[in-house]
Amino acid sequence: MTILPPARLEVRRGPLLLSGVDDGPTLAAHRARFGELPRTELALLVDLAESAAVRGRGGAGFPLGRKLRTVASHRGRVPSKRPVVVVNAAEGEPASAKDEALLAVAPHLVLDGAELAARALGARRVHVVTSEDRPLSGRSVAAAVAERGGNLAWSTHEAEGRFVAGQARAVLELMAGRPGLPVTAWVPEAMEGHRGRPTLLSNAESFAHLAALAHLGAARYGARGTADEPGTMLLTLTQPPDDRGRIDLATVVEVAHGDLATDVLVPAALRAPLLVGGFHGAWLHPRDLRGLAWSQAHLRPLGASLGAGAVVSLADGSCPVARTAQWTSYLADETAGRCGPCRNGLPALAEEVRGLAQRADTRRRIGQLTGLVTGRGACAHPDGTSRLVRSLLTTLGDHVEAHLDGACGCRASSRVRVA
Amino acid sequence: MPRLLPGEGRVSAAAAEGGDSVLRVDWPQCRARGLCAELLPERILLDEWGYPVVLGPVPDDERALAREAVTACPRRALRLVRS
Repeated sequence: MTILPPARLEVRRGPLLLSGVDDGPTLAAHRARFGELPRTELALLVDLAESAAVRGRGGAGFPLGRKLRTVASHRGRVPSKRPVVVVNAAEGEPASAKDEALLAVAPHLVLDGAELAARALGARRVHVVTSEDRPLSGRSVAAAVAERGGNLAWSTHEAEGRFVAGQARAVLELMAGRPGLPVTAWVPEAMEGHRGRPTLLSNAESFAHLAALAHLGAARYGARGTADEPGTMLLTLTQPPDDRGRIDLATVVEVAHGDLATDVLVPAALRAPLLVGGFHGAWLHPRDLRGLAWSQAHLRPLGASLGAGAVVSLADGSCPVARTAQWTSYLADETAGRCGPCRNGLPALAEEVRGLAQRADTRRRIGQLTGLVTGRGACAHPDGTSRLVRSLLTTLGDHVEAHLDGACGCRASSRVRVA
Repeated sequence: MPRLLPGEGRVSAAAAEGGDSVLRVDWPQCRARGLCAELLPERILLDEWGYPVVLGPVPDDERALAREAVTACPRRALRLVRS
C-alpha cells in the first residue's frame, strides 16, 4: 500500500512563523511584517543559531549553529570549495505537512533564512527541493523566488514522492542528476556535499527559524519556549490514513517549546494512543498525554522525540496494533531496496507485525528483526521503522497484551487490511 | 614472511596512524558475497540474509587482517575508517 500526503490542509495562526497567515504570502506583506532582511555577519548568525539552540526540523534535530560552523571552516576561495545552501522541503513523511504549510503561508521567511546563510557563508546559489506529490510547495517556492531581487541564484528541484526521497543524501543525489535515493555518507555534507562542496543542507522550517531570529533578535525570539529550547516549532496534527492510504486533513499549528499538548489536542485525542514524530516516530501512552509538553526534554524520558513534528492521534478509536501493522507494511514498501538489511528485514518485520495484529505472539521475532536492521543502512529508514515497532511493544505493551488476549475490543484482529 | 597489504593505499591516513578504527559497510554497494566474514570471522558475522554484521572497533593487532578483508571485497563495499 501507499500513504499519500494529506488531501486538505488547515493552517492556524501562530506566534512567530505563522503570524502572517492572514497577510498572504507576498514579499510586500512579508516585508511589512518582518522588515528588510538585516545584514548579518557569519559570526553573528552562528551566535544567534547557537544562543537560540536552533535544531534541524527535518527529524534528526542536528544543531544548526554547528552545521554553519562546519560549512564555514571547510569553504575555500576556489570554485570547488565554494559553499552551497540547500533548503530541504521534500517532506517525504506523509503524516507531515508543516513545510508545505510554511511555504504556502510564509515562503519569504524560509527564503530569507536561506539568503542570510548564503550571504554569511559566501554562497552564490541556493537550491530549494520540494516534492512532486506536494505541488503546493513547488508553486509557493516558484512564486516567491520570482518576487525576489538580488544577485543570489536560486535553483529549484522536484524530488520523487516517496518516503526516503527527502533524506539529505537522497536530495544531494537528485541535485547531482542521479536517482534521488539515499547513498552512504562517508563525511558530513557540511564538509563535502553537493559536488563535493561544503553544503548547508537543512529543513525548510530550520531556515525560517534562522530568519525569525535575525529579524526579531534573540531576546524577542526567545521570549517564547523554555530556557533550554527557546522559540517555537511547527506541528502537523493528523488522523490515521484510511484503507486506501489517504489522510483527509492535516492541521498545522505553531507551538512554543514547553506548551502543553492539552492546548492543541481535542479531548478525544487525549484519551487515545498518540504517535509523535511521524511514521518514523514513537507511540505515547494515553496516560502520559494530560501532562505532555512539546519539548525534547519532556519527550526523551518517554522514549519519544519531536522529530519533524508530525503527530498522529488514534482519536478515531482504531487499534494501535492494527495501525502499526498497516504502517510497517507501508514503510517496508517504501524501502529503496538498495541496502540488504532494509530490503530483506523490513518486509520480514512487516509480516511479523501483521502476525501480531492477527493475534500471533511474534514479539520475540520482532525484537530480533528490529535489532537486526537498526543502524545497517545508508539512511535512517530501517532505524525509524524499528523505532515505531519497538515503541508499540514497550510503550503500548499493555495494549499489545490485551490485543493478544482478544480483549482490546478493536475487532481488527481478524480483518486487518494491510496491503 | 611479511604479509602483502595491497589495500593499504585505500585506507585513510588517520586510520593507519592510530586511533580507533572501525569497519564500515557501504550498504547500497554490498551484495552479501560474504568474503569479509570468511577473512575476518572474529570481527564480522553474517546475518540471516548473508549481510555482514560488524562487531565493534578493530583493535591494533587486527588491523592488517581488516585491511585484507577491505581489499578482498569484490564490491569495494567495506572500508576501514577512524571512528
